[in-house]
Amino acid sequence: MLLPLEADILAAGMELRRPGTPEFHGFELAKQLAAGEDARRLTAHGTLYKALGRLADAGLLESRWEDPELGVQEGRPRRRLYTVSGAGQGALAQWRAAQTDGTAPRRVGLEPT
Amino acid sequence: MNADVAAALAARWVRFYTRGLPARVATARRDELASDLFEHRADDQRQGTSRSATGAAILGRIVLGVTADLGWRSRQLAALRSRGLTTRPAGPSVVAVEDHSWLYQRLHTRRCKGCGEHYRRRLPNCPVCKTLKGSSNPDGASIAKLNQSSWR
Repeated sequence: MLLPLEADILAAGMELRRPGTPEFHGFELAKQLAAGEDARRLTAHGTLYKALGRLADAGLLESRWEDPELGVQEGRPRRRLYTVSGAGQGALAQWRAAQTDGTAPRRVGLEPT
Repeated sequence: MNADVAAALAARWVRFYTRGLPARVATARRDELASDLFEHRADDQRQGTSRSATGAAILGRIVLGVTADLGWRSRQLAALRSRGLTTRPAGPSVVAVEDHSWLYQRLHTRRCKGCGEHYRRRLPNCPVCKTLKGSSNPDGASIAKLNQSSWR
């Protein structure tokens, strides 16, 4: 069962998909999360990258490092790029269905760490 | 706090909590944070955000994520231990703490000023070279007195 933050990350990742560019990087995701209806602050580094790591380990996100040369050419550090996997899409759909049914336990209070 | 200072602080923090971890893991984390900090600052600059506002945002992201960072580090260390890649002290007489758990080391051990080995704080002298805690040279007379004490 996904944590609320994890579901938000998968949903934001799906929203960031563009034709020919299904990938996103961490800061892009943080911005997308903060642009939600409740106008949140940018997600803390530790919280965000820990959640991304967990999702990647679970196979719900796929990740790769971009070619370092690209970063050098653009004068920036190389990015780690993520994509929502098929399993991630399925997990998100299941989570949303559970929320709609009211069968999923809701977490309230502090954001999971 | 301006953005440069906050970014430097963030970089320092990530170097701190990744120290002692396998190079591949530590480098990946540091590189990912470096990218995030760069993108954050570049994005704020494009939007005309003040440097102090960017600095405050970065600082907030560091502070609010500290617990998660330490939790991540703990899991990395646990994974290492489960693969038998670190050793933990088995009892009060253990000499060398070859553990990547820097927090354990800081809290429970002291470094011998004589030989450099780490040993449990509650011991009165280094089990390796017998140097008394706080002293830089083994003291024969003190050792003799020590052997008569109840600390043996």
